[in-house]
Amino acid sequence: MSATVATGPALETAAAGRVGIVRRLSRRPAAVVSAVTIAVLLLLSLLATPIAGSPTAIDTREILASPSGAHWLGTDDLGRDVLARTLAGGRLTLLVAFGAMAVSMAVGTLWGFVAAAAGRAVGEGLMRAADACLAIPPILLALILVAAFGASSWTLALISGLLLAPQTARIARSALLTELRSDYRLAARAVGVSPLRTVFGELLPNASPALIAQASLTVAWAIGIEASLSFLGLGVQPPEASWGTLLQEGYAGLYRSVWLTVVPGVAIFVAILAFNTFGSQLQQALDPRQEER
Amino acid sequence: MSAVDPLVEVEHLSRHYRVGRHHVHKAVDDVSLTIARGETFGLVGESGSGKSTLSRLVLGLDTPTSGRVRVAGRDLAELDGRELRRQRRQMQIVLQDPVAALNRRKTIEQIVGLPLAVHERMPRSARAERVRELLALVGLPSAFAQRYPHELSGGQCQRVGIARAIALEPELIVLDEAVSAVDVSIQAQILNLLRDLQGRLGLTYLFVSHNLAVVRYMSDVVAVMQRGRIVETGSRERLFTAPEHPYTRELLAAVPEPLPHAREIEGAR
Amino acid sequence: MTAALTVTGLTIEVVGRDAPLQLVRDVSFQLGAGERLGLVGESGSGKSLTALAVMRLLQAPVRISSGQITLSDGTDVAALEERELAAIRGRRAAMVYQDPLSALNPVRRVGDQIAEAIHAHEDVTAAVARRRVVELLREVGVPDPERRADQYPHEFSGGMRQRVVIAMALSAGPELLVADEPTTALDVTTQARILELLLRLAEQRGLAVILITHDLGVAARFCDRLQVMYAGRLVETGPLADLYRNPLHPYSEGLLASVCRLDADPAAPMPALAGQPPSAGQLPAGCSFRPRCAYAYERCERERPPLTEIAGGRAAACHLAPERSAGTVAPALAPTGGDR
Repeated sequence: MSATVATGPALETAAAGRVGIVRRLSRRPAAVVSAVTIAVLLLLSLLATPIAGSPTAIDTREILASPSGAHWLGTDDLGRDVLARTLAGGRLTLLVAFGAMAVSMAVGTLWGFVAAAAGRAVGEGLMRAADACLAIPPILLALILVAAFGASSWTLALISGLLLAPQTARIARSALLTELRSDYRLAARAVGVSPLRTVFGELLPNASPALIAQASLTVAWAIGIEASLSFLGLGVQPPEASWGTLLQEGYAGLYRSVWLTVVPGVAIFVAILAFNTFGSQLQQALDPRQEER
Repeated sequence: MSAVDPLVEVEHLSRHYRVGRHHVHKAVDDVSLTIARGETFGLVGESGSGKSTLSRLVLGLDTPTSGRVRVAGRDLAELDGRELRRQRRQMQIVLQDPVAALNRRKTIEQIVGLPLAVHERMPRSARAERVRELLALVGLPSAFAQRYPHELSGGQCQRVGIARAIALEPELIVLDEAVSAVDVSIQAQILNLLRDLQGRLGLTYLFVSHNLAVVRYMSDVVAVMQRGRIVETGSRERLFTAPEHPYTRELLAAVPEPLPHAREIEGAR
Repeated sequence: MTAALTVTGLTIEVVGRDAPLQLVRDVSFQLGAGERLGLVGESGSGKSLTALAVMRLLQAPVRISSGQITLSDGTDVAALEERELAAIRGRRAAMVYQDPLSALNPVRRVGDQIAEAIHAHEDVTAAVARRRVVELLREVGVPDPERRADQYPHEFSGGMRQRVVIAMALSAGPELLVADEPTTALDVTTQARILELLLRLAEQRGLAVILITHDLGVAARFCDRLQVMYAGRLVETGPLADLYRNPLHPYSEGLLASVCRLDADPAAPMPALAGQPPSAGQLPAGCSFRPRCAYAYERCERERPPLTEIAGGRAAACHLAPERSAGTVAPALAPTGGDR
């Protein structure tokens, strides 16, 4: 009897699985905590200077100071306030990460949608190309590209975005394919809606939650790439500060002050965790089968 | 002109799919039929008989392997994409799953107004007004215009689907298992609504269903499909009182009728 | 005669953030040994939940909030611990589902799946189990059972798959079979054959069967007795022929009338029940059916009619049931009101 017991039929309750996505998210503690964390991170980065003062102001009396009333997180080897530098670094890191996300979403969505809408041969070709890109470790590819095109915040955003585009393409394709097979799409065709209007007016609103979840995950990955490259000296260049460069500076003076590595390290950790959690929570909330558990 | 005024003419229509390298699945195989203007043509068959594929071919939503479909004298194969979309004013479909057939992120007003937005240059307020008329026509309160599909019951969603189908005053509506997914008491309501609309708007129906009793109730002419072919066609009276093909007889014998026990008991008294 | 199943005051609720919502309310009925009971109603009426509750297969957040489900030996299924249920499911009571494909494991041979069900309840050798599997498959009408036992579910047609599921349900010799829309997913001709099979098995094995269906035609072919559910409650029960000939509850009457039959008059409109069933959270005061009822009067709004025994094993939850039984009542409104 075990085989028949394993699969209970769907319940008769009509309301199941039809609650708005925001309400469903609000029932998930992890989603709420990660969303609040993201909001706080964004707010702090935006208000970096008003909160903590200038990231480049040098206080020669306080070099490598421990946390105190004047400098909450201490100072670095030039006497600059660590909190101010971390917040300012966060602004740049998040800017690069959001830039990368925008590039990845634009390129990847187009890529995936064309693959879904095109004929079988073209679609398969495009997806195999995406698979091939995904087979190469992104950091390795990023190293080569940065070495070739030079390092600036903008090239960094562009390169990370392109690297993360195949991932987005896969998600975009499967999201659109689901909608293409739907009854309401057939109904739209039968009404005489043009293909372009069908995709953008009818299908995209239904596919977009999956893409928003992917966008959140992309931000997390992009933060990781930026930090890695900057740590290796191939990302953001001093005197501009990002979490990656702060980590590198701190690493150089690891034996004199632990604060300088711990603070940006924790910042990177928290940011990646928050964006990752929010993205996967959103994905799960969108999947009614997972929602039931 | 002959006695019948044909709206749909299907000639030697086939739709074959390649399955694997050597096998061909004949979903629709050399089917010919004529649907007269204003009548209801019933198409009955079991799952996999090809009735759904045939209904999509008639609407030009699928491309036949061979044969032709003419609607109102126009050969669908000769129309380009643009002309075909314009032709869709004349022919609409109502699908089986009433909820899935509606875009879940659009309001009822947007859903019913979509054909108007596509085919008619109409100011927004006029469109909203027309949507309310259409909702009234299918028996829904105008307050539903601002609701979303998931806020409605299955039967109400099917009424919305019907409102969308009649929005452009088409000549032909394909009803593809349109009452199969709704509850019995709602099914009777929808059947009445469909007949009412047919009388008011002079619609021609292609009524596709696996339910023989419903097909009999709705149709003037009935065709029975089995494995991609039409095995028997006839007027309702003839087909249901004197079925000729063995498959038709088998289908009729299998219909579970309520009350046989009661009737037997009644007869014994 | 001991009853195969006695359900008393069964109430099922769904637990959410708000107050629990009752989906099935105070359902009581008895099923005699070898009796074939039809549980009919529309979607949302609670008929499937009732069936799942009997098997204790409700999944959170839906649960039994009160009531007893007693088997012939006095075991109260509703009170058992999860681990104690294994001895009941399959052995005493078994279930057949609407979708046979999802009830079978797609990557295992059907013979092995049935054998596993046998091993779950009996300590037998593989050879004995195998012999029983072949016998069972033959009993449910699977041709060439030796060969078919070694095939996978996808190699079977829908009807044959349902036969396999039935064989599995019967493998441990239950006395009660709960069949939830067993023929709904099948074609008309296949449906007729599966119904015949169930009827034959029920008679040969003396099975008590609860058939859950929305199709009154299917119920007519199979059942001795019928129970009609509406908005989570039993509204009428009685012998099939009596209920079909003279329904005591206006809902049963409307439901029977709205079935499109092969002898329906195409020239006349379908007699349709007006309105639609209420949702569980918004039941009207008094009788739940009142807003759709052509016979309703002011008492129906004040007072919810309890399920009351009328005569000859018949009961209905309607104030007018005694008069309706005597045939002396006319609807206050036209019985085929609007079509909304």
